[in-house]
Amino acid sequence: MSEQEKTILVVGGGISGMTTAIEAAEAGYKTVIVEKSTYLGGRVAQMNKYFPKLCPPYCGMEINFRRIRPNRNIRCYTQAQVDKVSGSDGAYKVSVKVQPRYVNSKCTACGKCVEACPVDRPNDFNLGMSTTKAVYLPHEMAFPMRYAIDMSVCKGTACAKCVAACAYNAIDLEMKPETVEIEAGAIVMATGWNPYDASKIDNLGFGKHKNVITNVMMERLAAANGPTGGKIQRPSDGKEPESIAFVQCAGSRDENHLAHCSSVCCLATFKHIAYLHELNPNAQAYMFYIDLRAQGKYEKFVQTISAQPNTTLIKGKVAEITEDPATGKLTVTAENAVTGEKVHQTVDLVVLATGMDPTARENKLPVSLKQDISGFIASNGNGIVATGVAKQPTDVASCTLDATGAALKAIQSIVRR
Amino acid sequence: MADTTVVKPDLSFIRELKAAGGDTLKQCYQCATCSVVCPQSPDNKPFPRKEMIWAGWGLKDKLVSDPDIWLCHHCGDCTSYCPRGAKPGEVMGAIRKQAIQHYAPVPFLAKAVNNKDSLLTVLAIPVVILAVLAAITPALNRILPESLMHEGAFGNFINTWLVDATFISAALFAIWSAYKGITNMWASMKANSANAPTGNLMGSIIAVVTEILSHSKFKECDVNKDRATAHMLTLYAFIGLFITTNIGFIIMYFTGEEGVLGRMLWMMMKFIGNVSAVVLIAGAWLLYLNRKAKDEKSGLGTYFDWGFLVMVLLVGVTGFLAQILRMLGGVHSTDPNILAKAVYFIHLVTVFYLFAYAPYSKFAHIFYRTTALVFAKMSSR
Repeated sequence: MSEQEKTILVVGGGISGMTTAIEAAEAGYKTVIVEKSTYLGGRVAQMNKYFPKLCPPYCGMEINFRRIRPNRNIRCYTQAQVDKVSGSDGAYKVSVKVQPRYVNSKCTACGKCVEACPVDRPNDFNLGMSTTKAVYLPHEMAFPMRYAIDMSVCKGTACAKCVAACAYNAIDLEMKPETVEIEAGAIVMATGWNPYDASKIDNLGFGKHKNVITNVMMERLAAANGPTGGKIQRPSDGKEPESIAFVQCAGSRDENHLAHCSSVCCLATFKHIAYLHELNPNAQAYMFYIDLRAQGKYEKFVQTISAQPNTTLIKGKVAEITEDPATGKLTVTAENAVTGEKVHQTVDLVVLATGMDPTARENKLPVSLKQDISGFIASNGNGIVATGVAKQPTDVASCTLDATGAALKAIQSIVRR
Repeated sequence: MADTTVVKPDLSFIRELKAAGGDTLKQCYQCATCSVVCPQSPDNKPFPRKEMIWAGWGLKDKLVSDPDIWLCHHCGDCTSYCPRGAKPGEVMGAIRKQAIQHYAPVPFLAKAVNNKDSLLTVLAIPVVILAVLAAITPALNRILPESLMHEGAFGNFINTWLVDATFISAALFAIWSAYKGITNMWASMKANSANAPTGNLMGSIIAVVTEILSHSKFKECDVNKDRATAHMLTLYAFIGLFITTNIGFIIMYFTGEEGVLGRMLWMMMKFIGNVSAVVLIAGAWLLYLNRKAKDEKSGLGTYFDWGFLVMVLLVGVTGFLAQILRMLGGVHSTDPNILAKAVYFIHLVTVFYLFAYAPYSKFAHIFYRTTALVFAKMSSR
């Protein structure tokens, strides 16, 4: 078996893609990770804490990075996307387009370039709740630990102040996009998800009312490396909320938006209630839900959090949110389906539990695979395996299990030939 | 287990409801989005979430005695926002249809009127009656003394005494049916309501009539906002035609067309009648266009809705057309041609359908909704 035939290409460098690549590499197979963004770790890197142990994601990420670094079987391309796949099972030819980072491997992440850079940009890692310079480190634990330049805002060679500031010749503003050809025996699709675009839900006021945020924004607010340094604050005035309404199924289980249940949002909200009460035990948390869904062993977590004081669960979906422009306070309206009375709850902050929108829904896959109505990959192809949230919405722990299984499936498809 | 409640679902009712346009009702997963987006729904025991689960469970008695099904104006906002495609707005419409059938004192007639397979049978009744009247008219007109002959334009085709006798009987039947229906509904609402209707009856009636005349509730709708205007035009047209009919009656049996009073009444009749006819056609046509345009967002409706709407449109068009065709033979012609007679005949058939069957067709909402709104007002709903 040639080296090429023994290669597994992994599309997506989130928790699933990383796990598949590492597990297969440690079993002796060559793996190549193709990641669209500037860093590995995907959505998990943006979390404040994650299940099952509620530790910060850097904890698990670091172990993975530590496994990648010395392993010569793993190659990584960031800012890279699969352009074309040809060939067939066992002998795929994959053409990968790599966008320029404008910062090369000499970068020591000293940060001198940032001091010199005159241009600001919204920080997408913090979902626009803070800014970075045009030259930026994606986040503190980014892997690769290297700055990048956002050329859509950078003034280029006309400015070049960062080039002068860099003592290591690490910045190359003339860097060009490259195309890399990879031969692989099997392909793993770990394309993951995007948070559903909450502005599409017109009755919940996201984008219209400042203090309506999403669950992923809540993770960033609560994270120590987030825009507020770990303080949960209202976007309108920076006030720490005395009350929060959590709106479950915001655009989920809804044929007008995402038809599926993302399965993790209920637990994410219970986690957010825990964040809130850790900072302010007296703050009121109201959770509006249709059905509470907690996978397997997480039931206990649900019971613990819902039994806490200042936590109110209301069965009924919020379908209207109004804002008092003077105070920035919001009133959410739902019908409590148990009592049959409408509830108008006024709160400082509203968190919309938006669901997982599979990346594969809007982005045409480079290989043709069966997808369900929500865009999740519904079946594997010849020598092509889907894993993680690309396949179905699920939590991190299940993703790593599934990704390990995907590594084995990819290996099997190579070996059995 | 002494406090166990056993739900006794009426399965045939669920099947009927599904057939009546509520086929989506089982999609509902009780998220209650509908109750919140509904512009008509109150804070206390809002609708239509509870009606959806009652419908799903086949609780017919609860539904037909629920005033809330009539507080619903089929705005379509609930259907448009429903995450499951359960179409609560359509289901509420189907429930209202079932309620009309439930309270109808002649149940088989209600079934027949609202089933498109029996349309011909239902139309056959006025066709046969009117055909017999047309057949005996020449003989009757010969033996009737001159003093009792009316100068009705189509009097030589179908004798006006016969026409009036038929339609007065039809109206009496309709009034009796409506009376039976609304008193039955009132009694069951009273028996099932948590709040007794203790408010002021007259005050409530006045408030409800004002609300209906101004369409103030209907205008709160969002998705079907423009339907309020179309519906209002149709309602005012019917009021206009009601006034015209009564003036015609006075002229025919009391004043005659001569004299100052007679001439004045005659001109009023012609004016109000023609304006109303045009408004009726316009209103019904707009209703048709609105339903067609909004089918994606708020549901298309069923034969119950369409059959009635088409009949209203036909009454307007044939009435107007009969007048024009007759006048082609001279403004005061009493010898209309065969085409005019045919159109006039169809006009009478459709008018009969509309009035005799009013408490059995969708027209019945005028009685039931008004009554339910009064009940709701009186029980501070």
